[in-house]
Amino acid sequence: MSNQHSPRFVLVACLLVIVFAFPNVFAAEDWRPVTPEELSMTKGKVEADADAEAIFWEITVDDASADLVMRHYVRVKIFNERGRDKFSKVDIPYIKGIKIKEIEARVIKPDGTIVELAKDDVFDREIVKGNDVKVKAKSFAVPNIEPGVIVEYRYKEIHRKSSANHMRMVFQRDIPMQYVAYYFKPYGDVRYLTFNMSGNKFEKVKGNMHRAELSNVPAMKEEPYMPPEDEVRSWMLVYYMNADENITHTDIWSSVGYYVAKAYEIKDTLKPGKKMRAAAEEIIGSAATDEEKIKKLYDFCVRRVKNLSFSPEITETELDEIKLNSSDDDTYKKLQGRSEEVNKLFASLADAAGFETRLAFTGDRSEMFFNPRRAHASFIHLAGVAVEMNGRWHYFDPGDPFVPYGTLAWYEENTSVFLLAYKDYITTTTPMLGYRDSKETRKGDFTLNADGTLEGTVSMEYTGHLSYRHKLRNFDVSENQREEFIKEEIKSRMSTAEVSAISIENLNEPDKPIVYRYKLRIPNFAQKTGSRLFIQPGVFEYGTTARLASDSRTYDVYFPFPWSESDDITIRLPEGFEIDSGEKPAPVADSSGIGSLTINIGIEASTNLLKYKREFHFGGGGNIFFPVESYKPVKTMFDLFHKADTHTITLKKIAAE
Amino acid sequence: MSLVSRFPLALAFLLTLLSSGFAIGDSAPQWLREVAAGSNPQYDKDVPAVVLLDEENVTLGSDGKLKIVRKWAIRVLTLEGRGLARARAFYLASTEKVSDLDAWAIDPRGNVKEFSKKDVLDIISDTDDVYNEGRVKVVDASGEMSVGSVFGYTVTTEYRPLFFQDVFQFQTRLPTLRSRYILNLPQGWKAESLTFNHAELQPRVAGTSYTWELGGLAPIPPEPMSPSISNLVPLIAVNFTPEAGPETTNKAFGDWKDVSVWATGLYDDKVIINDEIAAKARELTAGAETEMEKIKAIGNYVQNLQYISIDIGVGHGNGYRPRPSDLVLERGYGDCKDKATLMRAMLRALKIDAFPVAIFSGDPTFVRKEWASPRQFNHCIIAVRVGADTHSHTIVDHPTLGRLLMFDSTDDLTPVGDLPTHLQGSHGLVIAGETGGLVQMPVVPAEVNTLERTVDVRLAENGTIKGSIEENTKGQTSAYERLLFKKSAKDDYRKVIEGWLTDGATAAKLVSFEPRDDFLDSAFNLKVDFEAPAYGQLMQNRLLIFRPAIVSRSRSIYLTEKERTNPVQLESRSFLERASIALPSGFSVDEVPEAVDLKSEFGSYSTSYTVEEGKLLFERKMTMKNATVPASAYASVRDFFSKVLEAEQAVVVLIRD
Repeated sequence: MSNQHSPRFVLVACLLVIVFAFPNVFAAEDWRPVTPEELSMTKGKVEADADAEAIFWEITVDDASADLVMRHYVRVKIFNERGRDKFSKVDIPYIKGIKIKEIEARVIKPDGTIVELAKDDVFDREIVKGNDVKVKAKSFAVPNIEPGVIVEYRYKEIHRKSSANHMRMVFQRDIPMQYVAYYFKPYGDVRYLTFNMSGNKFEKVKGNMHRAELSNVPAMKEEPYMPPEDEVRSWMLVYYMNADENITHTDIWSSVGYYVAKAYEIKDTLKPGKKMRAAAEEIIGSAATDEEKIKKLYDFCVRRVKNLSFSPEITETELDEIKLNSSDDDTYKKLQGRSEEVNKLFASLADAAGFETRLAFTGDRSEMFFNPRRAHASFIHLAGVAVEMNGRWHYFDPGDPFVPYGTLAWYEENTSVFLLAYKDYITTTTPMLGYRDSKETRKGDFTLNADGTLEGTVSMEYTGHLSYRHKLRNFDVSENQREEFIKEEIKSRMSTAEVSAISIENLNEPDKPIVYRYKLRIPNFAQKTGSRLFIQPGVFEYGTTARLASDSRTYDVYFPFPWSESDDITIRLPEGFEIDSGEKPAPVADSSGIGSLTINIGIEASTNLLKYKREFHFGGGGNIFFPVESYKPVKTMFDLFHKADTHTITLKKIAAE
Repeated sequence: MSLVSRFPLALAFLLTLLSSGFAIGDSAPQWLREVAAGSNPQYDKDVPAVVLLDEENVTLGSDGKLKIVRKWAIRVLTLEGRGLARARAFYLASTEKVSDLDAWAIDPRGNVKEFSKKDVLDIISDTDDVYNEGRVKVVDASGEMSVGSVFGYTVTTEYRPLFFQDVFQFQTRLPTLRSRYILNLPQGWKAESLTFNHAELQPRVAGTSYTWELGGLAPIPPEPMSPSISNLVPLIAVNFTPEAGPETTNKAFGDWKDVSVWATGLYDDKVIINDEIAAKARELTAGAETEMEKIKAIGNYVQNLQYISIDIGVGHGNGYRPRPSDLVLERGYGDCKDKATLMRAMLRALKIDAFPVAIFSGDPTFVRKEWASPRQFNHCIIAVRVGADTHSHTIVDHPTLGRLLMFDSTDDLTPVGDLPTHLQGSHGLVIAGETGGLVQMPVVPAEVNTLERTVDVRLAENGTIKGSIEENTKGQTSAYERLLFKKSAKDDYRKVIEGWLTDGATAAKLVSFEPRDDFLDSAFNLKVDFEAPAYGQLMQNRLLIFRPAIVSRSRSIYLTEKERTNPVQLESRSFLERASIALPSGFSVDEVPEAVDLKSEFGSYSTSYTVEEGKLLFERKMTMKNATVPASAYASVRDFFSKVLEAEQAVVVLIRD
């Protein structure tokens, strides 16, 4: 369902408030007392297995004056050598306009003995120095650090004539923290968005000083198939804007929309002139239906317009020095442009051809799950073009020649989208390709020798988002590197495999699936005993491991998009052998149709040909996200898939007559 | 041809130049234009670039300063080769000066881009050190390059050398058309060279100017398990001395004894035994009775101090000079030299003599005994003089210093009594004044570097296995297990075990695991309880097949290419597994794989299968020797490992009674 808003862009200036300036009132404090409990800790309070645990991690952000002043104060208990290694050295990087001052550090041993960091043990290093870049770091080694000690350090960070606007405040790090707090003194009205720390907010503690805090925060971890980091880490985004509660996220998006529309010159794009109308007419030619017309325009943008963003023969410097096109007319005239310019040309042509057309701004699912109720301009980007046909919005991204026709990139699907015109915007959700649309089709025609060697020819075809991934990986590397990618992928599963005669088709064909073809030889593919051969007819799954190995899980499970696989394999069996046991594995499927695997094995007796067909899909019904509570059934399902995929059949020597 | 018809072409050419980074005014120096004008042979498509010229022109001034002018040029052959277009000049901030760094790119059409000072980045060379005055000036031209482009640079570096010695490597892995080292000496000086990895190379001599030159050097493909590049590429080591002989300068060395004498002056006065050091040594060895126990106690303390490197004054020789032992103890951290020095001081407090040993870490074949030079070392360990009652595989008999126990006081994974693999067999310099010299490190026998695995499982009728695995590792194999254990958080360590368990048995569930590190005995023990449903595959309710090699910590081999250019390097180690698999009742063994018994000059491998009281007893054993197998014998190594892999995949067939 989509919502259209009336044309009421609100000027951001109206939302911004007067800047209040406060003097800097935060003076350095003494080291806080260390409690006997802290001294005697032998394991983590938040995570018993922790290598080190922050007793507190506090950052004071004083934005009340022209300079932004931040004070960091960290106290960490070290439990083992890994914790020691992590905190043995502290680097505080800074750039021009930032000063690092008042660095102090000390180590408190379990018996209470204190070792202070000597002032001359702090080094000021120039990490990188260039014409327009200078990165420095203040560094020091923590003296006498060993398991059991408490390390604490603090320093002041002054950002000259800077502000905390749009600052990300991090409440979860790579070690557990008993207490983490940001003290914030803003210069004016401030808004903030919280992520993965529900119920938390800034509260006024003294004067204009606010505090947001969390207790008992576990360390960040990495797991396979987890959501993007911003979806699991606790963090906060602060920005200055009128704190009036009556200003809703809709108002904010209206403001953002106003400026985005200006920045992208959407009016010029979606109010095409005579030249563009003539161009559209010429390109469309005799096309009759709406679909045909749009396809013609799309093909023109993808095939006739040189996309500078996807031209590996153009060096980075050459690209930097090619001027941006002055308008969509200019792009059309030059027949070249960057990704964004190609998209705008397509939008302009579609509009000129009489289609209701808008620029589509979406979130990025590879970074964060975008929720418009949490409004901030940095969460959206130009994803493509929306064209209305038959009462429905259709999405196109001709600016990226590898995104399939009529779709967006996978991370722009199934996310909220703003469809911007120059007067208004519409909010809706982008559709997601089904598992049938992103398909891997593998065919193998093999011969098995009596010594267990398998050899033959292979073709692998990818459509949808799978095709997108493969094309993107291959387009700007050499032919040799493309072959290496294939070899590495195969050898990671079958180290003895020999791959030759590799060819890649349709790499630069926007509408066609990418296809790999090669010859494959695998010595010792079949295992032998005195009278039998054992083979895994699912050759393409040979050597794979289960997707979810771990029995335990912290985070939700998340797959980028639904996909399917289809294998068609023939294996000519060696003479003198016959099938001893060749039953197929039982199908695996869930009742909701989320995933399924069906394998059929047949024998053509006259030719001694084994035929293996495999159909697999996952993500049915758009189910690609699974809460951590459902980890076990998801894992079980993938274990069953894997078991069926590695199913073995037996060949037996034919007894001599 | 008329001017009118030529004009558009000229204009187009001008526009092309202006639209790229290649400016009309830029010109390349004569030497670069000459090498760029030449052609190069056709190489395999995996060769990313060819070096057209690599030249170092070194001049020793009468004031003792060295001036080095380097010229280097490559032609890019593939898209990946673009990343090699970088100029790099290392220098020490306090003592060395990079006076000129000029670089040019010439595109395939002959247009030249000259890089200016603003393109130079000055970067710290080692970001891990708290302070390191080593820096690198870099010009990154990769963004300018296309296939066929030439990149070249000249750089001038000036410094006062610590020694009158130099090394020149004639190529990297890239093919090199022309490579030369030119040395210009003051009157009354002479140069001598040693050639490695190539027939002896004689310089062309003109007065006191020497030129060593090679050309047409073929690419060196990267191959797994091959010797390091320093053992493959032609290189020369050069000594330059006054005619009067090296003894007239303290910057040249006649033999290893000279190096020892020189280094002793840097080390010995840093061994300071104050009350704290003596007390700490007594405290650590309070319960120790034997000499070995004392050395272990001190060694264990020192190797667990935090490793921190602070390199100041390297150009003045401080890179070879440790910090005083009392300061190291006070700070509680240090680098390899600092740790060896502190350990010497502590041992001396206990009346045990020890000597620092300069060595190369990372490649046991790196140090060439023919060339007496401290430039060959990058690490420091310790040699402890021990009595006749102390026994260890890491003791060497020195003709004058007696029995020396070698120990790496920096490596916190290898205890006293063992040596890291990358040091075993290496040449190291025992720094002991007139009695010091080069010594070859011991090679620990394979039977000390072992993995012994006991597998005790029960196979159920439905194919489920349940049981335990116990692994006992010793020597450097235990160091590897220790590395996994010590450097991984508990959750991550669990995932490592789950990873290799599920790799061998799909859907295996890790029930429990119990690691035990007997560090001082160089042993590591791991017990794992697990179960895996459907490990065995039941066929037609009649046959039950399974792999008796349930755990395979490495299912892949690296030697899969049919041919090879370089020798194969093998490390000594041994492995023994005894598996007891209780078979389900109602089944009997129908077939077991044939026992394997492989023997070669570099190792052996065997398997055996015995059925006894309802159990299958499976044993596999491997012993590898430290060996460098020439490329001509590559097929035998490849065949050996292929047969091992085949044996590990073999299956047992049970049949229902």
